[in-house]
Amino acid sequence: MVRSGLGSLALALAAVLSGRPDLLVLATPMLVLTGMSLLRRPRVVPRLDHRLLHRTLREGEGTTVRTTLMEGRDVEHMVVALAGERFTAVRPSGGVRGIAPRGPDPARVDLAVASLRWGVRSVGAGLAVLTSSWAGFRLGPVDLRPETLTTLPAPGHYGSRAPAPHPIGLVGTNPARRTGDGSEFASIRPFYPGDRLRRVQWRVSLRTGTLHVTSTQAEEDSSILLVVDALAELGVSGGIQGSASSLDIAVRAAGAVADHYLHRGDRVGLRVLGATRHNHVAKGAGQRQHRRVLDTLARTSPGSSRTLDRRRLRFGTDAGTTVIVFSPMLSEEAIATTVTLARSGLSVIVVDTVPQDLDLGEDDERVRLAWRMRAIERQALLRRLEVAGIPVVSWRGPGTLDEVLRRLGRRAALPRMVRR
Amino acid sequence: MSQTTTRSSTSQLFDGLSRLSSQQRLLRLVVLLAPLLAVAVEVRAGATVQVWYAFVVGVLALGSALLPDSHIGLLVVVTVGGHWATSSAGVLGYGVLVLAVALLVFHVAALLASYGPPSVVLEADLVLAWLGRAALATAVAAIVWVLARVAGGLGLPDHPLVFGGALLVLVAATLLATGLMTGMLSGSAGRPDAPGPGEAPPG
Repeated sequence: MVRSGLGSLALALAAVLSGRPDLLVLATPMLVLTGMSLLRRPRVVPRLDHRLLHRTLREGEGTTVRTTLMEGRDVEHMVVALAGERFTAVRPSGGVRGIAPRGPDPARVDLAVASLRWGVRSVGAGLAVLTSSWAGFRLGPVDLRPETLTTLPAPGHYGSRAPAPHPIGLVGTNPARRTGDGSEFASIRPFYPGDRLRRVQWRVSLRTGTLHVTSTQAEEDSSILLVVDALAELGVSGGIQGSASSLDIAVRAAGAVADHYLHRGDRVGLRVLGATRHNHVAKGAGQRQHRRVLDTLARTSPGSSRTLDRRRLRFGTDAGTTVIVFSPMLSEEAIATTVTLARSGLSVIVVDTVPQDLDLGEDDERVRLAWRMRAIERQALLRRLEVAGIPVVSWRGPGTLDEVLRRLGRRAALPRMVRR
Repeated sequence: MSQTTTRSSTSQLFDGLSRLSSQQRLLRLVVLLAPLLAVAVEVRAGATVQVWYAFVVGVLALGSALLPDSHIGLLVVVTVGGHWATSSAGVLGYGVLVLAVALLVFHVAALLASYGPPSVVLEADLVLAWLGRAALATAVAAIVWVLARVAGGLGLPDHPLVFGGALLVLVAATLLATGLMTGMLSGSAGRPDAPGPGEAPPG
């Protein structure tokens, strides 16, 4: 209104003072617009409500950032512009949308937002501008406050047919080393008081003349401890559709393994090595435990913690727990922690999370040379794991752990010498 | 420090221009061309136009096209209007009306371009509403132009007080008529001006 108001006023004044009707003709159109915008000046101050429709998503999923205009009957146009965030995609692209409110109902501007990487981020920061009828008055830019969006790792593709090596629990699906109620055949043995009649093996009983029964292996649940190494992040993350960093692979793989075992009824715990404040989830089972594990994984942040002292590190593992370590195995702390766990008698598997197509981010020969030197050091560290009898596998989705788990199961059935 | 700030604001400007929607490109092209059209109309109407004046208007128009929500647009209106006042003889030819329309088009295009960030796309209804408003303002200007010609023919005294009084009456009548017309239009579009039940009275 400043342009039309002052411009037309100056021309009209000049017309009056100089007696020039042609200047009045020049001033008239903008005088009309100015007068109408003054007549239609806003009489109530509009209010804005800005929020995310969902606070928790999976990677690649989307939600809506909704800005609702209330008391907006004097508002002719409303525009909302969201600030660009890393690992966030907005539709329409550019994150800008304007609407002309109609009718007495509160007007809404919806912007679709998709989260492209796991983590906890602030989403929805931006600006809003409201313009009155005939564009005479403008409210804003009004700051729109962001809200916290938690993005859980994508539901990973993982499956395993191999049983856990040491099922020690009550009820589950893993064949145990002891006999009991189950479906896996174990042996045919003489009848003892207490055996169920439906277990009687009639052919053998008739042939031998004494009652025999079919015994089965008991089925028990197992304990799985997932250890995620967040001490270092190797590679550049491009979100769910781009390249994956070592931490991306670790977090997504740990989420997928937790999903698999918790759906089978096993108990799963989590420990994150790194700078993450909430880095421990005690073992448990069920859907709520699944959510706890994914929430903690989503809060993982790379970096070393000053408080990480492997001599004081307590994992709260019982005998029979299978430990799966997701790590690029680049740090002494990670190696030492893994070896310590293995020496305490637990079955430990290392999932190597170094990406196959490693993106170092810079096209610099010195960076490549540094990585080659680091890779040589890493080979030496991995050899220490081999010496300690810890299997290392690369993450490749379904079936990654099958062979290793079967080998560990066979090894568990063998007699072994115990270090005392 | 100041160099960094300048570079930052320049890069922001070019960054914003790279995200211009096709609608915004069209509007800013109109913002750029309308003042140049006004200069051409002045030449056609017989006003003396120097090169420096055309250059200044061009630069100001370019500034308005780049920053439509700045006050550069006011400079364009004042410069063109002031130049017309000083360089023309005050003849009420068709050129005055075309010049008024050119300034109006410049103003409306700059106004629409400043509704939001460079990538905003305005709804067709809003653009049509503004076309209607511009047509209305043009019609009022045409009425004023006709009345001024009639008054000129009648040989009324051109004392500033008489002229000013006539102007006030004219503007009041124009606003009243326009308000009634747009009120009827907006009433049919479901945008009542009166407060609804349970709402606070205006003021």
